[in-house]
Order: sequence, then structure tokens, then C-alpha cells
Amino acid sequence: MTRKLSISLPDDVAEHLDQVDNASAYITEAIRMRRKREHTREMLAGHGIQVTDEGVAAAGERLRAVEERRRQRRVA
Amino acid sequence: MSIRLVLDTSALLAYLAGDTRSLDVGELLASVEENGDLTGIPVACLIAAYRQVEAQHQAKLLQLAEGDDGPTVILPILAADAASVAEKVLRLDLDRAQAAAETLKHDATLATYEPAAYAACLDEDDILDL
Repeated sequence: MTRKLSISLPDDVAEHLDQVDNASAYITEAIRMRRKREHTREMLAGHGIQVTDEGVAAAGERLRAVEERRRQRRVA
Repeated sequence: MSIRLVLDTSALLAYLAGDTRSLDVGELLASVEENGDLTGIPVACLIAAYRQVEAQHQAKLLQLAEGDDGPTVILPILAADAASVAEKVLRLDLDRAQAAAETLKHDATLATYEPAAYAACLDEDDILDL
């Protein structure tokens, strides 16, 4: 089922949505991703792990560095 | 969504350790998920970790691995994977053999506290040394 909603958005967000093919699907995906992120952070907190945005970003950098080394090896 | 990261037994035990190692693994999990990917937990590693921890941590482990819509997915040993795992189990314990096989199968990165243990099967740049 779906519901039709009237919502107010900042200009920059509205302008972005003007350029996507299916704004409803786009917003739905964004909200589901946000909910998934919140769910994971709640689970981690429930396990005594309080992650921070900075820590998550740093972890991502470490992982990307390994992936980049692997990519470089393969093209060498 | 693709499997971008694989956690081995040492990483799963670290997740449950209740110290900075837990935070390191937790932040990795969150990072992978927030990029739209998944972290794989080889079933042999899940079982190996499960048998090493107390009941309260066993519940956490299952919650991490089995939760719907969570950041992880359990990786089974499929019939098609048997040869790859069997070849590696000649040099590694079963849990590590599956972790190495899954890392290669999914072109992922293995997160572990025991990188030296995988030297026979993985390149250094397949491994994130926690």
C-alpha cells in the first residue's frame, strides 16, 4: 500500500528531486537507508558499542586504503 | 548489495570483547553498511566464536549475525564452495579456511586480528589488520 503525502522541503532538496525520474522511489530508498543505519547503530549501542560519525568515517578510510592497495596490485 | 567485508573468528570475538576492539569492529560494520554494502560472517567463524564465549555473548553474536535488515549476512558453505574451502583447510583451521575462501569469492576484505595466519592463502592487501 502507499499513501499520498504533502511535504515541505528546502529549495536545494526540491531542486534535486526535480531532476530524478521517480521522486517517490528516491525518497523511499533514502528513508529506508536512514532507518537501516539507525537500526544498526541501535543494535551496536545495545551491545555496548557507541560509534561516532568520526570513527565510522575513519574506519571507512582504513578499509578504502586496503581496497586501493589491492586495486593497485591488480593493475600493476 | 555486495559483501565488501568478511569478519573472521578473531574479529567476532573482538566485537564481543567490550573494549576498544569492539568499537573498531563496530565502526567498520557501520561504515560498510552506510556505503550500501554488507559484512559477511562465515558460518564456520560464527560457530567457532560461539563455542568460545559465555551465554550472554552468544546471544549478542546471534543478534549480530541473524538480525533481519542488519549490517551482516551469514555466509554458508555451499556445495559449490566445498572445493575452495577444502583446499584451504589443508593449511588452515576450518573457520579460517572458510573466511579466506569467502574473502576471495566475494572479492572482499578480511578483517582479522590474526593476519599472519592467512599468509598461505591471502595477499596482504586482502586483509585489514585490526
